[in-house]
Amino acid sequence: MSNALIEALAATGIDFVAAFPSSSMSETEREIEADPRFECVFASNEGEAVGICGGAWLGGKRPVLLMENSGLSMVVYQIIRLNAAFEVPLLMVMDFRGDLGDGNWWAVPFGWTTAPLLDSMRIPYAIAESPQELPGLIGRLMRTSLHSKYPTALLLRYGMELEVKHASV
Amino acid sequence: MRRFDCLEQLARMISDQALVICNLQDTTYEWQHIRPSDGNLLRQGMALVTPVAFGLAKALPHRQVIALDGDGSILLGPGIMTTLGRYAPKNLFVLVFDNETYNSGGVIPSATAYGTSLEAMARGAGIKHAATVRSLQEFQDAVQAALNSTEMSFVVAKVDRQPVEVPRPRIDGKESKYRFVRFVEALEGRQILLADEQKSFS
Repeated sequence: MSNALIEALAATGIDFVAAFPSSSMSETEREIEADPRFECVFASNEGEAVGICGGAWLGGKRPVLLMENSGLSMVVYQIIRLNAAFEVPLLMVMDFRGDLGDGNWWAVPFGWTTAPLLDSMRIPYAIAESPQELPGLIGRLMRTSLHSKYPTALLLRYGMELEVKHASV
Repeated sequence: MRRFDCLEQLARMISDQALVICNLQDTTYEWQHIRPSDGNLLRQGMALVTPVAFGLAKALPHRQVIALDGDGSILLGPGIMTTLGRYAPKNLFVLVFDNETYNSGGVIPSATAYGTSLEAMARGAGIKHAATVRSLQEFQDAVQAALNSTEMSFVVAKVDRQPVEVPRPRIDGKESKYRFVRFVEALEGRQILLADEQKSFS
């Protein structure tokens, strides 16, 4: 067994992870923290993690921010003030809470506000339907972010299983 | 105590290679005037100064990183103090100029004017080496101790509200970012911008 998200992040040269605990990615986040390929930091909130990723990029790292899409409402200020104003790249990978099939009543509004929030910040994004898509999507989103010096985002379909039988890359 | 005098003192004490992340407005103007360097990242937004410095310190553990933050900025994102307490990168020095005011927002007092102690918050967040200084001598001693220490330090400098008038830097945040990254590239002897054009990834 291997984790398709972790292998896709490593294959994209990502070596720094700022994370906020995410219910469906909690196992992945714990694995990343123990994986020597990544410098991993848990932030007290997602906006702070945006600043941490920005600093890591300035220092030559290739960072990713892992969180639930509920964190998107927490990062709006930091993305506008740092990434948009200074033109600093950032890749965000998020659980898609409130996606079709999510049975949590509180998550539903996060589902319907996710795309408008991303669109309002002009952040290009993709939705991964399966673990097999992760290497290709993460590679393209990272390249777009690095060359536009602007954030990009990946949403993981609610309930996607990240542990796969064989390494996907 | 004037922030300007503290900054002049600081500039005499740090290396040319120190990487300095600057709070917006007057802190940026005064610091860039005193220590003009591409190793200064200027005009950082509130609640971003110390997080950016923290990320930089984690990325470059062998480099001295200094955050020049302010009370309003820290109070907007106080959670970073818990992250500092948790990870405490030893190459990071956080200096908070506490003028008890949102000066760039029109001179409105901040909570530190009414009893909030950033040093006590820092200690409560798990930061081991936190101090408050109120005179230039105390400032000099605290900075010397921080620079000599092998552990992270958090120093709150109580300063006057009134900034010193200096010419404003002629570069905006985007240019400051480019200059800063070029400075880091030269220090580190490696490419950061467009580095992926040298090696492909999936």
